[in-house]
Amino acid sequence: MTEPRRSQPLKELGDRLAKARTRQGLNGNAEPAVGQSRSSLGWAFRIGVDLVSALVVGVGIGWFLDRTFETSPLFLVLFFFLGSAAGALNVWRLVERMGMVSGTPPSDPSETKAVPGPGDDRGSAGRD
Amino acid sequence: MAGPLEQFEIKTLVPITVGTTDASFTNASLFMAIAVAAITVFIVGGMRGRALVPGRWQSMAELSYEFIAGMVRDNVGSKGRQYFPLIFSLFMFILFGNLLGMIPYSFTFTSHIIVTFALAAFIFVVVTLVALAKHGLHFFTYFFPQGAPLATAPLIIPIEILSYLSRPVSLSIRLFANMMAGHTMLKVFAIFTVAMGVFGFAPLAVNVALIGFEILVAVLQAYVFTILTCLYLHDAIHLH
Repeated sequence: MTEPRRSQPLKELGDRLAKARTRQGLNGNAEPAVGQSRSSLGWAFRIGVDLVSALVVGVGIGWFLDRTFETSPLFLVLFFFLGSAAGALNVWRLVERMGMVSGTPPSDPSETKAVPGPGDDRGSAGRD
Repeated sequence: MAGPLEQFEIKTLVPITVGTTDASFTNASLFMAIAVAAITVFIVGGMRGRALVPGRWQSMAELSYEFIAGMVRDNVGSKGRQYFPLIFSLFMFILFGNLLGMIPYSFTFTSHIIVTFALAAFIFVVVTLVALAKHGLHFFTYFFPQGAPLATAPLIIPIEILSYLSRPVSLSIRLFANMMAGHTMLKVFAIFTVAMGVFGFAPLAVNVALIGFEILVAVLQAYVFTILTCLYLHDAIHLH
């Protein structure tokens, strides 16, 4: 009795779902852009961590190589500078993604985009 | 009065020794188990009704699913959908770990760098394996940007590799530092509240505001950890 009455709205719902799925890119192969936006303090914290972490890794590797080959302080010094450079590279990539680098056109639109992406428009309210 | 750092102390609950390794069940293990149990109850219990029009609980379960599904779709792309279970488990585990830590007398396992580093190192290994499986040896071109003069290779390649290796470190430090700093700050102001007697209302007011802020940070850090994992996965799948 209720079956035929319910199947019609359900079919409509199915159609609407299919449409929504296509719109959301669930069925297609659309590649939405990567976007990030955050408050300044959040960015500052992220940049700081990224800068230091590469240095930590560099110095750690240098220290380990020195201890293994007893060449102190050759590798420590070498990897200190490489680590600093890697930290600077990390920061450069982040700043580039923020779209704050002038003069360089974004090489890959999916990689460097300052426009906030969907679902990522909340600020970090300080720490990040 | 307990010091501000005593809350992070690991206490052995059930001593277990495997060979010479101490593998005891500690308060950190307990809260990880509670987090997993809570997530299971939250998702399975919420979806038990399978209502077409969801109730409150089911809405929350669906909302968390859709939030992560959207994040994976937007940041990894449609090829990343097969990694959704990994990302979702990761997000829920960190989120529940952070939020469980906000309950008084509980323990925040994400405030220990060894926990966050283990998570980040696991992500690092998975992402590298995905990249190797998708691109084979072509993956190693990731460490040398296209168009750079070949003579700069001895300098650029070590720097790029170090930058790549720094990912798990920065990922783990960010989560651990935020959780530890927040909980230490809460405790410091709680000590002030007791020590200042009648004037304790001032640090108490600060603490009330801080608790709200900490809950925000707990959710946000789980989000940041997950979205960075998504970005690394995106890099691994698409290279450059």
